Formats: sequence, C-alpha cells, structure tokens
Amino acid sequence: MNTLVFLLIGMTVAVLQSTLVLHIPPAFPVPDSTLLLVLFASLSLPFGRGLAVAFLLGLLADLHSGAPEGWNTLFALSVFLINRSILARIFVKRSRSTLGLFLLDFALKLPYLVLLSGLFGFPLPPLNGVLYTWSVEGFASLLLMPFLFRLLTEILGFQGIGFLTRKSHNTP
Amino acid sequence: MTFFLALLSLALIMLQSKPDPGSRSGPLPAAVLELFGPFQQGIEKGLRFFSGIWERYVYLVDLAEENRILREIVLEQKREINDLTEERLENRRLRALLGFRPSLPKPLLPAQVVGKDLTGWFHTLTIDRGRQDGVEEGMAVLSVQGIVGQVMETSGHFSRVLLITDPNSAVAALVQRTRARGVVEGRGIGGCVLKYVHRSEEVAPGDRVLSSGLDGVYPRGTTLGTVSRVRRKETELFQEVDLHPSVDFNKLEEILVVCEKPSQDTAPKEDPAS
Repeated sequence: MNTLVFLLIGMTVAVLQSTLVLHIPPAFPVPDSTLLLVLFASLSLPFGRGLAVAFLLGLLADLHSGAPEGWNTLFALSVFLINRSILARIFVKRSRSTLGLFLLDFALKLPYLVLLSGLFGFPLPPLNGVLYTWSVEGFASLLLMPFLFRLLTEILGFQGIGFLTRKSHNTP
Repeated sequence: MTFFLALLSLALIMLQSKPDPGSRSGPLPAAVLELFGPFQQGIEKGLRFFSGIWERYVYLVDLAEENRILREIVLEQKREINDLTEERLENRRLRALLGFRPSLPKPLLPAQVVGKDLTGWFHTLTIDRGRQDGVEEGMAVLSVQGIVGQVMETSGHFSRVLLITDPNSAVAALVQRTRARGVVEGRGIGGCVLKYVHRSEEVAPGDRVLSSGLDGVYPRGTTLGTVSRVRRKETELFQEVDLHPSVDFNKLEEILVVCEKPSQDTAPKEDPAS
C-alpha cells in the first residue's frame, strides 16, 4: 500500500513541478524531485519494491520530459543500488547522513550525464551550461529535500528523527 | 539481484532503441501525455486565473504610462503598415510580371502551453492540442515573435514540443542582411548558436537570423533571433555565431502549430531570385 501511495506522490510531484515551472522566473532553480524520491525510496522501502519504484519514477521522468527513454531510468536504478549498498554497511539514521547520501548521489549525476552522452551520442549543452544547470538543480533539491522528506514521512506514516523516521532493513 | 539486472537491461534497451530524443513516438509516451495532460491543464488554468486577478485588478502601477507608450507604438506601427501595404502590392505586381508562383499561407492552429520540461536538462513544452486537432510529429511551432520549435510527440489531445534552445534541435537558417547560410542549434540555457557559417561570410552582432526553409520543417523567412556575438578564429573554417532567440520562452502562453506535414524532400522549391 505504501509503495502505491509513494508512486502516486511521485506522479503528483511530477505534474505539479512541470506546471509550476511555467510561472517561476527562468533563473529560479528547478529541483531534481526524481532523485529525491529515489533517495527516499532507498531509505524506506524494501529492496524489491524500492527498485521497482526507482525504475518507474525514472521512467516517468523520462516520459514527462524531452529526455530519451532510459536516461533518468538508468540513473535512478544506479542511485538506488549505490544507496542500498552503502546502507548495507552503514546505518543511516540521522539527517546528516541522509544529506551525505544526497550529496553523493548528486555528485554522481555529472559524470553519469557525460558518460551517457558519450556512449549514446546524445548532445549536451556546453560545459558552462552543464555546470550551471547541475549546480542550481543541486541547490534547489537541497532546499526541497527537508520539506519533501517531512511530507513523505507524514503521509507514509514513518516515525523517527531527522528527515526520516524509520528504516527498513531489506538490503541487497 | 536478478530483478535489478532485468530492470537495468530494460533501461539500457530503451536507451539503445531510442537514439533520437528529438522525435519520439510510441504508445507509452503518448499514454503519459494523455494521462497527465488534463491535470497540467487544470492546474495551469487555475494558476492563470489567479495571476489574471493579480495583474488585472491589483497590480496596476505604471499602467497609465504603459498605455501612453503603447499608443505611441500603435501610431508608429499604423504608419509602417501603410508603407508595407504599398510595398506588398508592388511586390505582387512584380512577382506576377516575372511569373513567380504565389506562396500560399500555411494553416495555423492556435494552442495553449500547459506544461514545461520536468528537468532543467531538456527544453520542451506541453501544449493542449493533439492528434485529434490535426497535430502530428515533426510539425513546426511558432509564436508571434518567431520560431518556437517542433512537435516531438503527440497523443489524442496533447503534444510535446522540442524548443529550438534544446541541444537536440537544429534549424536551417540564414542571416537576413547578408544571406549567409548556417544551422541554428540549441545550447540549453545559453540560447542558440548559428553553426557552419563560412568564415569569409559577413555576420555582425545585431543581424537578424531567419529560417531558410531548407530543412523542410520550418516555414521560410520566419525569425529565429538576433546575433549577439561572433567568434572568428584564423585557424577555423567556420565562424561561430551566438544567437539571442526572438521568442521569450519563459513568457510563452499561446503558440501556433503549422498544420502542414514536414516535406520529405528537404530542398524546397525556391524563387529564382533568391
């Protein structure tokens, strides 16, 4: 049930974000809500379900933007697996460690984009454009993270401290 | 782990099978467009209603001054229209004398923008017109300011438009003043760049760049933007020209879809004079 609600929240966030960006100034940073939701899924959902959710959220981001199908999907899956591998060794409980995971995930995005662009021949904007988009997206995601995580925690009924309140232990 | 590998393979297959992000078709993208489109349309209508109240009834500072400036512009443009009407009639007479084929007006379909790209990496818009309104993949999209982009996917009632600022976009173009030809490519937030202009061609900041129509997608002579910077190196064959798009993509609300299928023959018939 939680998984289904989580997916519905993901869809709602996607629709809201794609409509609200029409009304915000161009310099205003747009967060990577998919990455935040995948991070939350890797912290809170069992492995199998979380993986399916990461796949679907990534695919939704691909289909809801001009991205090639598989672009965000592959990244969401990779991020989920990396997070779960770390969580298998470290008990992430406090908001500071969640923040560390987010920073790691976001840092991986830049080499991932460059690698994928090189492998599949998808054009990227010039380097300064890539760095600008990546940094403002990171900043916006960082601002959104506490609110989104608190909202998800409230809706999905988790309990605890920091951004998250309960951690499930189904590691890969 | 098997489940992970299966999903990973699926994602890779999807990436490999869709090499061209500029044109997307298939039941899945269309279904997502059709499913989320009505929600986006509803939210957009609500937001527009509230912003309309603010702009029409609350935020009226400087309205009198703006009104005065607009009246002056209207008078100036009326005079310009009179001059242009005369020139158009003269042009028609001369074309008839030379035996040119008259250019037919293209059918335009107005549409509303209801959504934007979810991420900052790709530059697309969602509009409230789809296949049932006659919109098809590859059709050109314009605004009163100039070229907006091209339809990249459609569903029954909605379509997604790839903007000219997206790195996947390319438009055959020419410089209005010198007729130098090139290709306008998107650079994301940096606007556009006019590529493949020979270094011997004369291009200067402030020059207007138009579509040449050679790509068979965009109507010939439509404004793309203004040259903002020219970079010419001694060692390179082509010069690189930065372009400021004429369309303000952040204030785009209404657009026009050119309801004419892109021609398969990429070289359109041109007037002998051009």
